[in-house]
Amino acid sequence: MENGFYTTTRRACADEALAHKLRNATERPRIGRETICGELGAVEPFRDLAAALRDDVLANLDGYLFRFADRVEAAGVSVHWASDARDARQAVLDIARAEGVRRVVKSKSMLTEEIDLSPLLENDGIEVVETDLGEFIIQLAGQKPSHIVMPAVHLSAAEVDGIFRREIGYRGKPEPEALTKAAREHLRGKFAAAQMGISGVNFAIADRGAWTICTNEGNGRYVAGLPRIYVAVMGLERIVRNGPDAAVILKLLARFATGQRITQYVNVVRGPCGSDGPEQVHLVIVDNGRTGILGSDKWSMLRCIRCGACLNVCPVFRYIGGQSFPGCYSGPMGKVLLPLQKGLEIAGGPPKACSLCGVCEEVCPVRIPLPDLLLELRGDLAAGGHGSLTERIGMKVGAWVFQHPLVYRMAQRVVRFGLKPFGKEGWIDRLPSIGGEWTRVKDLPLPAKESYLSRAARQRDEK
Amino acid sequence: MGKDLLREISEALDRGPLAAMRGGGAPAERGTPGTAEACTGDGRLFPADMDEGARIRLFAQRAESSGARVHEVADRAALKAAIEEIVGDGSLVAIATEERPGKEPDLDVEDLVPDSCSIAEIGDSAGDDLYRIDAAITDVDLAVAETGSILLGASAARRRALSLVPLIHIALVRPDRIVADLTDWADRLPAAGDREAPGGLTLISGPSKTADIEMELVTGVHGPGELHLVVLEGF
Repeated sequence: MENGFYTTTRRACADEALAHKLRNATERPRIGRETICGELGAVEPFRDLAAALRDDVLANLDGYLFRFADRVEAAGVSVHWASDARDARQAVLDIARAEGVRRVVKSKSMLTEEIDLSPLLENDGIEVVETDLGEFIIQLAGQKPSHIVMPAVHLSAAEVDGIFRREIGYRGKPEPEALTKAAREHLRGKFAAAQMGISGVNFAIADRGAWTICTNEGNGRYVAGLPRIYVAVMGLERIVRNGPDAAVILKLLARFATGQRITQYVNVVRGPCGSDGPEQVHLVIVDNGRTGILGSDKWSMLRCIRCGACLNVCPVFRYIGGQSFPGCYSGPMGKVLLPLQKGLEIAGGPPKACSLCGVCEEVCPVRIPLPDLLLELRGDLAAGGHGSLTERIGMKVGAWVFQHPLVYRMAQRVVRFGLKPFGKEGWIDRLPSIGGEWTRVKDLPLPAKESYLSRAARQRDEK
Repeated sequence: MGKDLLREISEALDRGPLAAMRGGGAPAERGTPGTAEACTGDGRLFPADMDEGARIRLFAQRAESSGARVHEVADRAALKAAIEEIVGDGSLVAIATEERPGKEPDLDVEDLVPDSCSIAEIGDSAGDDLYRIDAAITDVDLAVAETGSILLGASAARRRALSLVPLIHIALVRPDRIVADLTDWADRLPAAGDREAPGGLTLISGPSKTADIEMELVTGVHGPGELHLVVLEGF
């Protein structure tokens, strides 16, 4: 599987059009974030506050979840607990079956991607319609999201035009506005005949017994408001204490995601609403590895509010996009979350696709120490014997050499003389054997004629 | 099932690195106010007691910047003229206000709709008619200056589909409903167990929009392409 990640990444790196689209797509939210965050005045105390609020909730998660579930149940919501992805999708299927649902409309939710919900419903003959424009496009194209906030950023208008022509008989101009209107018309028919709506949960508010769905398009309002049955799927860590805390997270979420003050729509769901709204409301609370993370030294990953800011600044993500990743999450947060959820066997590649530049931590609204977590995961990889034999032997030898000054100095000399024949005007552009892996993509400067240690020693003597 | 999962969470936390940050007591009490001593500051950007003039100005400015159009009207004639200009001739207009004689100062919204327009009958199931409506007029429960937002609770009179499906949404905003900060909005969220409060509320900030294709901004995706906020000053 690690080889799989290596292969998909190499393919993505070779795609220059993709890199161009990713740069275009990540640049704007990045500039937007910088501009709009200025309004928060001192943004650092805001981030401290948000991180502290998340930590309090995580440390006392059992209490908050218990009370939250109690309150929403009292308001008439059916709460379902799912310990893994299988339980979670089965819970949704059971609801759909019991009610004879034939068509489901969905708003964008990374958790439903995580638990692979749609294929199970579709296998049962239920039509599942994604209603977020980006998700709708990639559903028609049979792809997976390339960004957790902007799922279709890897596709140009011309490509979307091709997909719409093929899949929904579109015959308009290949322009964003016309394509969007066509999706609007197409999806209106789907909304009207759907018996069930499914959404994720941005965060639940423990003391109010309510949860929120943030969207810009308004599809979250349709999904949670118009069909007879509404099902929300929530990661068990996505909870805040009370109203004012919800305001703090809301103030940060859209600013860091897209550079907006707030998303166009924030839905607050309190329960079923006979006079105007769904008759039945279900909430599926999903663990799927979260409890394990909570009890581990990498618990701080659960602070994540899924804003995607770290994706937009990551120099690696901006080249390879999200589709190379072995799961629905990508970028720095995905590099940490995927191995924690799927194990290093399956998702051990992503933590290594990082230069440890640290910019992801700088932009994280809840201060997740992403580079530290990535380093720890690499340590876990090495400790678990996941590296190649050459790598493991190399590291062992390297460690031994670095611990023995005399050997180290000798090794330096060997490397300096050994590399000399490959140099041309101070640079090495091709090396044989494993050294070739390095020079295949970049040149290596020739080592200095004299090592730092020996020069320092000489200068000290000259004084 | 829920109990098992909660017990697993308790055990993971008690054993794990977060144990020191845990409040005492049974799960039902854990994490009650006081345990989050590290959380300083209230996250406010604007004081709750901001004066009304400043609130209206901020609300108008922020709403415009999120793509809404703001109309400030000082009397009923100006309100009627503003609505006429927005909906145009021959439109099908829906009215979804909770303003009722006795409960609220009655605006008599039907009388505000231009003569050339017809008023949609909103039955129990709006069905296909819903998709023929050109514009909807609603009132608001609350407005937020910081974000230029309006809050609509769902109800039989308000009908959430009406502020969502038609391409034009006109919201009538009374200045005394405008609060300064998002924190003030959050403070006013209904309490758990309040059976009188709506099952669903929507905070709306500007028109429906997307940038999912090539990052190009397009309005009116699933919801209204135009949001008009009419601020009723001095009514």
